[in-house]
Amino acid sequence: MRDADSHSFEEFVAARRPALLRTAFLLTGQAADAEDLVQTTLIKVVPRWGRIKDNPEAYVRKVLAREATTRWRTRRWRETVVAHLPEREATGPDLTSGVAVRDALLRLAPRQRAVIVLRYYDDLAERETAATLGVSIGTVKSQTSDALARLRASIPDLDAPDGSSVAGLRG
Amino acid sequence: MLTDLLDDLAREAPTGGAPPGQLWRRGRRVARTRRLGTVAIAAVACLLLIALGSVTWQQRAVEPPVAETETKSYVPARIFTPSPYLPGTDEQGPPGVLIATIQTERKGWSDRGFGLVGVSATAGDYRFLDLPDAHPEHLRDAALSPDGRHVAYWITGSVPDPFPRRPKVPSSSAFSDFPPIVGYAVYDTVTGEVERQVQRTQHGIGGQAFVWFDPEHLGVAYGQMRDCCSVTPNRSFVHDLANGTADALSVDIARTSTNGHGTLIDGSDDTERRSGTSTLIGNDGSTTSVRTRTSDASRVSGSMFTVLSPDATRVAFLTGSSAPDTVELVDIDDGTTRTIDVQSLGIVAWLDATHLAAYAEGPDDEAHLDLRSVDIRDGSTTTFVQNADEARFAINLLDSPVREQPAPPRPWSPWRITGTAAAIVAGAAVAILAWRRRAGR
Repeated sequence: MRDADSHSFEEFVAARRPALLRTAFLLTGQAADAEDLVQTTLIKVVPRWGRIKDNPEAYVRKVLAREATTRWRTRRWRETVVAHLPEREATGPDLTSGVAVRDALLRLAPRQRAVIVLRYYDDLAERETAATLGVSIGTVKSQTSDALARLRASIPDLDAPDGSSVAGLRG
Repeated sequence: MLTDLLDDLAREAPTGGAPPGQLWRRGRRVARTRRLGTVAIAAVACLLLIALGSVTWQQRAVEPPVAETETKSYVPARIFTPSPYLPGTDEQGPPGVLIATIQTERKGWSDRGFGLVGVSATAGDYRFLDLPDAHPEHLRDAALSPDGRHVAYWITGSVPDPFPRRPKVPSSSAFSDFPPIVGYAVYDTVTGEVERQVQRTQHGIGGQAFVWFDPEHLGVAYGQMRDCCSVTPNRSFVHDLANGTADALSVDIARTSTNGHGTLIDGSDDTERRSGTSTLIGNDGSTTSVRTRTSDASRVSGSMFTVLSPDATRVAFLTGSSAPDTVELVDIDDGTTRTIDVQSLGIVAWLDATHLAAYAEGPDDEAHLDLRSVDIRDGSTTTFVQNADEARFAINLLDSPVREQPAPPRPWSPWRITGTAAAIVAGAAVAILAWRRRAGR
């Protein structure tokens, strides 16, 4: 039984670790932190693997997101929050570049960042996002709204996730 | 577009990581460590709770029954100040023959007031006397019989026309928060049985005093409540425990003292005091006026310091106007007086034909009085009970051997016990959470 669990766990890790790392990278903004977060998450789910192995995805994502918003909260010193964005190239800043998007994400509170990543990268519905983070749907809505407003401040011509311009959300 | 930007950014994510097999092994090891730590912390918390429960149980443990060979009475060499959280007789049963009672503060979860602690004459243990229907504000009147077997006290109940419960006159039982006094009861310290004597009155009674003639006869003095704040003149009775009857007395016994062997002495009346006479009252109601002239009769210190010898032939007084005062003896038969060369703050009883029990300041603790044995032949004294002034003694047992009795337990308040238990549980929970979090990293 233990060997079977181990085998299915290793299969899951091999198949899903890249996706988990991508989500973790968006949540932490650092490659090393993303690896750390995914590794911690996977180690944490091992004791429960026997119970979740038939459908581990939701539980693993829940552990990952909660680790990011709780444990990573204590490590915010890694996230350099500055009053002004650093100087960009002389040709002018590309506000939609990876660096700009990452900076904008890092300016969000951990839970706001998690809401944005789960909603608009992992494509979860509000209800699923609320269940994953252990908060109410109302909290997800308000956090989403606040997070989008802050992203919009950093990336003015950011389109809304439904295709409309984020600028369009202003009104 | 946000989705696209996130997709683009996510491409920068790392791709490596530890081998899955290694992660599995680490996960198992972490789980094992977390489980072991949790079990260890929970075990420590359980041990602490067991220790707390054990200490609490020991503090409130029921004393083992006194063996038949240990029925001998002793006078404790020291009276200890009891803890307000001592258990009571409802929990631990009757205490057996008492050497003394102590009125002291009693506390529980939310209630606090005064209680009466009984000190066992055999084992020396202390416990609150849960006297059924006792009036808490009048526990100071409770009287221990000379042989330590019974405690008389006032009881409350309902009357046809109770006075309103308004705290206008705090000193009046009519306006107290408790029902009025309706009679008295006698608690048997060995069996726990209670014999009640309820008086039928309109407003209740105003209890004045209990004085034991001897172990079988209780003198009771009380008046009837006339209105909120006054009582009819006292009526006195002698209650015979053997047959349960109460016969009226022709004299007021409210300010008398007993020799514990059937006779009271009343020397409180001003006229008697000036004339140097006192009244002896027998348990059959008989009265005898006797000459008890003192060297300075106008300054006899009061009836509470007037004690009659067991054979009712001699009286010991405190005379003088200072404290401590001089002890003086009067022989009732021939009227001779003799001053004892000893100073005392009060005489409690005769121990035997040649010794008195008298209060004196302790050498180390001026706040408390010791009980000393005074040899009336030469005035020599010997301290035999320390810290005795808070206790009221069973006077016929004061000639028992003196023994160092163990100090009573000092139980914790229920709040402290609960708080400590809660702190242990909360501390364990926090420790487990912290450990599991740390082990998971």
